[in-house]
Amino acid sequence: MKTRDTLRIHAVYIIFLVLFLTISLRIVYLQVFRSDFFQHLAQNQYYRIIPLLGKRGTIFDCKGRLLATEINTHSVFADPLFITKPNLTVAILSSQLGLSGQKVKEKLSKKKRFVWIKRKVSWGQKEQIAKRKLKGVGFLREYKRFYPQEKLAASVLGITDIDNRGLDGLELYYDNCLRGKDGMVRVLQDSASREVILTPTIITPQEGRDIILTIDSQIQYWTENYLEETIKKFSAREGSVVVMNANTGEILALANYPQFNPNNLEGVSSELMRNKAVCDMFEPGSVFKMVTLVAAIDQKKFGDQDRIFCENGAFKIPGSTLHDWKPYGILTFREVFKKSSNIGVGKIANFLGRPTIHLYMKKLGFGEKTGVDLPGEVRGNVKPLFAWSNTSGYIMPIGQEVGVNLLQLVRAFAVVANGGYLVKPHIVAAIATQDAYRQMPIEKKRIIVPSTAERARAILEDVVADGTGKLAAIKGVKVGGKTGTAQKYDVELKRYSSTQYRASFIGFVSELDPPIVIGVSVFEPKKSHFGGVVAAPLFRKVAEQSIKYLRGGKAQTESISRPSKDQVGAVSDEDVDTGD
Amino acid sequence: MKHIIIPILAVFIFLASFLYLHQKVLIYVEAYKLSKNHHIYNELVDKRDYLVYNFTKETSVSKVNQWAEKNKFIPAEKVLALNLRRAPVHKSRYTFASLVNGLLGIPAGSSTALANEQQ
Repeated sequence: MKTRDTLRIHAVYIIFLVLFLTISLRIVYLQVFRSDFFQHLAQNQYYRIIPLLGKRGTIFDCKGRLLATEINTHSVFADPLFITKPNLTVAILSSQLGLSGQKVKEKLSKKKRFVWIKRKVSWGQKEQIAKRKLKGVGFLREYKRFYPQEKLAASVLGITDIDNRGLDGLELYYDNCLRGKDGMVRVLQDSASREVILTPTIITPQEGRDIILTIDSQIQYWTENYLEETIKKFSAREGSVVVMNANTGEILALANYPQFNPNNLEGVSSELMRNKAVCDMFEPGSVFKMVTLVAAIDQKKFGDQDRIFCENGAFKIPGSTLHDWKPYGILTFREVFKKSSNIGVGKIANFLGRPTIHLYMKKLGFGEKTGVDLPGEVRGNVKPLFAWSNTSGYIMPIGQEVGVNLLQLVRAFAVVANGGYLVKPHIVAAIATQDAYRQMPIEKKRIIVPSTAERARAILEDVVADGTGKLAAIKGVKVGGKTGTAQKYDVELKRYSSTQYRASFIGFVSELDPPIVIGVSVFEPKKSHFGGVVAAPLFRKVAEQSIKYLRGGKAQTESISRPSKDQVGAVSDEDVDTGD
Repeated sequence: MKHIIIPILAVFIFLASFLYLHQKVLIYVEAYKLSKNHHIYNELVDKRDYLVYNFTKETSVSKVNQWAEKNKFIPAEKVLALNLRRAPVHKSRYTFASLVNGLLGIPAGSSTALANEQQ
């Protein structure tokens, strides 16, 4: 009996011992060998990581006006497994967020723990959804890029994607500088998933750097307004205007039309967003005659009163015939440019020789990028000297067989306006550092002597005072410039189009301190296609307002032969000497 | 003596534990308050941003220019700077004036701007 009892006790003892050992071993296994795994699992349950987004830098204009900034928004997400009332959730989300019910339903039926419903919704929309306290629907704070000036300077500023990365314009060019660095905070969460800020671990986000532009929003506004007005009056396809400080290369305004609103990119094509003043290459036409003008003066080969026979309107050159729009006999050197004679300029260029013309094209910066701080700039096209045909020596100086962008033309005219310096155009004036703003350096180099620039300036001022650019004249202010009317080269037909033109005017106001250069280019105008009729009045309007504004309203400028708003389209080609 | 030490130890341990727990609870209460305040702060930031968004949109260069063009607004060439100091309030008139001002919602103390300008 005693033995049986002892056996029983021993058996129970052993069973318990085995159980105890098993449990102990299991505990040791879990606590020692699997500790990391379970610790991680537990931490995931009671810690929550909240991303702290690095704010993207702000963009200001030269007067400190806000051009691009960040605003707080909320993005709506869902955890489909937590949704208790799917039909109600779909109905509320689709009605509040303007999404189709089917689309929301598809998103909620995904077997995922996290799906975006809609990103960056307005505060009002978020409030409306939050009020309903839908289970399984949450919000994440995110920054959204906001452009308070809407269409103003949109093609310069560019755009960002949904994650605030630069996609175009300055947003892309200065993306590394503007972009902030994200941080995060780790907080406790209770059983009801409420955040408890208790000894949080914080990685502080870094804000992107602010940038100040050389753009003046007020001048930009006038420029865009007048450009739109002109495009509509002449039923043109598109156009660009650049206003630049000739001394420093600071771009005061850069407008393109058609425009777009960067706050709402629905239906906006990349074609619409393209910065045409920088990214489009075109044959400049007569505005390019300034290269021959500068070369002839700098080489001291022609005096103002030297006479050139202009062949009464038609001049046979190797492989082609040069025509003037109006037959001219003998013109002085000065008159050749004033009346924009193709034959006269062709003869002057031929006399100077191809290497000289090529040299001055290069000196004035054609065929190479201006180095402007904007993406997608085209280099332009200046053929190497060995590729010039016999015809090239005559037609390249009048702006054919050569490709430029508008900014290159503006920079070349700035050389005449500023006394001989080739400047580097730029659009960012300063970038914020930790405690100050770092000014961007001004780059310029002398390429012609001041006396050459002075003589060229006087001749170009004649063009406006009594030549093809009459409609650009402003009473009481000396204005210089050159008109241009270029036919578009039809690649398919392999000849110049008789319907597609580009009307241009590049002008300057050298007596202003600092002098400004304004470049205007209008593509495919319908009612008239001459630079002197389409582009010159637009130059005048922009210049007039800019002069008043830059002089602080002191200047009393009055345009001569100024057509009223309604008359712009009615100005006939006979009103001006449209020799371009 | 030995009999007293044990209850004292027990009371001490109890009190220490109680205080420890009390402190822990207080910390959590403060953390919850902080979280709530943070939530309110975020809501206020959102409202501020919403107002700033509307304000900047309504005062953009384009809108201001359009308004100026529509109303034919010409900025003045001369700017008159006014020194808006508070005039000393006479004690005798104070009670009556402040009562009237209070009723009409006018801030107390008149400006000397007009007087300075007349001078």
